[in-house]
Amino acid sequence: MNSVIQERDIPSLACGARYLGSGGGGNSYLLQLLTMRAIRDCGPVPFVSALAMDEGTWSAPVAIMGSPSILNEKILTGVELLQAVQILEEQAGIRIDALMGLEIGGLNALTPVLAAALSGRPLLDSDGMGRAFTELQMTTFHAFGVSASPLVMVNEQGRWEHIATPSNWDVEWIARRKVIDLGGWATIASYPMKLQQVKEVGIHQSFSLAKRLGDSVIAAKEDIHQVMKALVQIFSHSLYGRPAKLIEGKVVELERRITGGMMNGMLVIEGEGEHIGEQLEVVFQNEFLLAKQGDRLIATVPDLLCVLDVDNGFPIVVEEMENHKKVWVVAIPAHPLIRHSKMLQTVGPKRYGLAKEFIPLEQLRQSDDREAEGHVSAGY
Amino acid sequence: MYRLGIDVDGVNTYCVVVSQNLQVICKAQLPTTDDVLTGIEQIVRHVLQHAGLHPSQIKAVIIGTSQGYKALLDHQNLAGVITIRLGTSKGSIPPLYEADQSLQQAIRLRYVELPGGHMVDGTPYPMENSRSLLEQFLRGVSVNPDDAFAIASTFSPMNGDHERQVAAWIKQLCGTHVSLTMSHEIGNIGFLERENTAVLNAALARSMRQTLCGLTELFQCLGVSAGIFLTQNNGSVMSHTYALRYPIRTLCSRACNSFRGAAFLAGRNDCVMVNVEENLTHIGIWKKGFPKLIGVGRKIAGIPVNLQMPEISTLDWGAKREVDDDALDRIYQAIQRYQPRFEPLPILFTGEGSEKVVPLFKYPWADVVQTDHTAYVSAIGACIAPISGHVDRMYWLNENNGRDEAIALAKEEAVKEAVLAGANPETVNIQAIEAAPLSYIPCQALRIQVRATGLIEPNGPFR
Repeated sequence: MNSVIQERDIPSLACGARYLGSGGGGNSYLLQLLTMRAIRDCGPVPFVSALAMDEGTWSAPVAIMGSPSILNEKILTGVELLQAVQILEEQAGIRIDALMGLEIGGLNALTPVLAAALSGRPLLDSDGMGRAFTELQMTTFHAFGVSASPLVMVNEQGRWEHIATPSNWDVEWIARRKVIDLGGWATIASYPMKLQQVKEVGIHQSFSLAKRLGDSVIAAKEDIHQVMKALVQIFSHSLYGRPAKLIEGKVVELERRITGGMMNGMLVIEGEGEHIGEQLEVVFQNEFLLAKQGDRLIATVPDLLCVLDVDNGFPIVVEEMENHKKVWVVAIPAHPLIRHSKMLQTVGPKRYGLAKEFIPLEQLRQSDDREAEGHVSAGY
Repeated sequence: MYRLGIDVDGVNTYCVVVSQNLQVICKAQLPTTDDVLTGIEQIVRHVLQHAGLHPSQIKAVIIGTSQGYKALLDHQNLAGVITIRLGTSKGSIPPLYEADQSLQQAIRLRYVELPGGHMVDGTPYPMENSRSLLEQFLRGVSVNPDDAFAIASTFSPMNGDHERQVAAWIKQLCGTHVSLTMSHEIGNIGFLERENTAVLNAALARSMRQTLCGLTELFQCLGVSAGIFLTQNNGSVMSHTYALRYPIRTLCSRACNSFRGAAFLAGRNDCVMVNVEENLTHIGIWKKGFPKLIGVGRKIAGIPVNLQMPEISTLDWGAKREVDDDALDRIYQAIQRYQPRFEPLPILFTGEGSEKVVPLFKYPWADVVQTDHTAYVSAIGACIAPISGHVDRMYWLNENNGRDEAIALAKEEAVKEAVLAGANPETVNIQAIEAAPLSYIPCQALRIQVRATGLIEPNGPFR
């Protein structure tokens, strides 16, 4: 990416981030409009690699926490983000000279860009999830020892809360409750850290990747075959790895229930075309977590799962999934840092009670191919 | 007693006369005139004469038209719109943000933000000095007698009190005859899209009023004293007074009319519809006498809206004329999307191009049926559609207000809506209820959709 993020980069960034959301992270038309307006009014966002910045500089990730549905009804202005950063500076007694992402999946890929545009601070090309996850401690920042405290949360009325406690699990627990008091969502600034730490614990090049991915997908002009080629092309030449098409077919079963504010459930896809006779079950909790055929594991969190709409190749988020949709399911190997054993303690399949251990997609595919006795699915 | 069904598209005006026992006794088509009304006058005179009917024998006139859509696309004859936003955030994205300049100018959008709105559970935020701010704003902008107001408040689908409050203030300040659109009557959760929809609805108020005044006058001249009804997006009809309030609900009603007409002619209540027109083919599902509706992710004139519209797949054939394997495959694939997993529904072809497709189309798993009267299915569908009241609201459940109570409230409201839309109260009954928790919102929020339908006249055969 250039050394600035311009208005025209925003649709690409938002588009790429949808794939990195793994079915979660929310869609926000509002956030896209706000970010583009902010860049138009305040100028392009300086965009720098964390590796190139002075190690003593303080940085913090910013994000929106809470319900995307409430956000789309009780709308954001953007100023809330500036307030969160400013209050974090006061509470921590530091000056934050660079912002970064908490997650690169879904609408939170735009949140730090909006904050950077409005505040004139540079944006680091780094985040802490390399995709979307649901909870605050599901970051490489946490996995490698950075404290989420102090965490500041602000709502659209300027009301704010400050959380400082040693355990990042407690920070998540408290924040999850406060966010309801604040009206369903809040902007957050948290995990303040020096660039020296960002270099160690961050996932780098993630905004560049999302933007590059978005550019390729947009160039594919809503043709799912071209979109798949774009995904293979971009991810194969990144730290993530080569995506695999698991099935194409139709959603024939969809179960969703909301427990504890999380959307849980599963869907069943019945194969068509070269996948005729196959069935794939995809389990989700806000994000798509696991794919299996009968008892056989096909792909599991933290590897990414995208359910693509055959009509246009765009990923369908969990809350917009519908029965009878024609889809392709694509799995993408996660960034190596996300597969690190320390990270798996918070985001591995065991944490979700889904499987005993994480098996990388590539390994599952290999055994898959062996069982099929040399049968290799065409194309991907 | 007879009904007149009139269907106006960009090229032709179609008219059918349907008898009490649901027989099409006369049909005619003429080119649509620029003013629409002249064409309607000509065709009504024509069918009355040919059927040998006296104007007093016409019991109801039902009109399906896409004129509103045309007005929005051409930016013609739109009312000026004053938008009032009630909420807690200031200076976010304004209404119709992505609309092109000429549309913005055509409706001379004037806009103010006032404190107010509700929380997700329906608790009000303080309105503080909203009334004096509103007065101040209205003094500062020039309000023409033709201007329309759009009011949108945060979480109004959960609690519409603040929108109603501001509507009452506007009536006090600007007169009781002003045209007002409250967003909670139009769409569900999704603020910017719902507000956009309210603004577009307000903008259409003027052309709808002119059209309906013209129609009323026209039918008086013709000696037809029957009630005038318009078809709406959800596949039902509404009285003309109701249409004055919700012109946006007429925009894509013609597609549903075709479906209803075709289903009626084929005697099917559940089927997958394929309407083959010259350049376009529309495919959708017809279940229990209604189309499947979706409210999110839709755009009108390039503007994201939040409005229940039928889910229809459209295949564009461009310049291609022949029906080859590729065309048949695209139709097949589009049909498959609507087919349930087990027991596929019959497939019903209609439209002038269907004759070329049906003989070549192979579908061994279900009946493939073709209708006659192809040019007139939309006019026929308009003629036989029921009146309906549709409620799509959010309810916050607590100890005193459980799921059953919320559903009872929604049912009551849907019945009231159906009566307001022109149904005879004795004929109204509840057709469909859907209740679903809203994603990501803690479990006390329930979205309930209810459809009540009724008939124009009691004991009538018309459904």
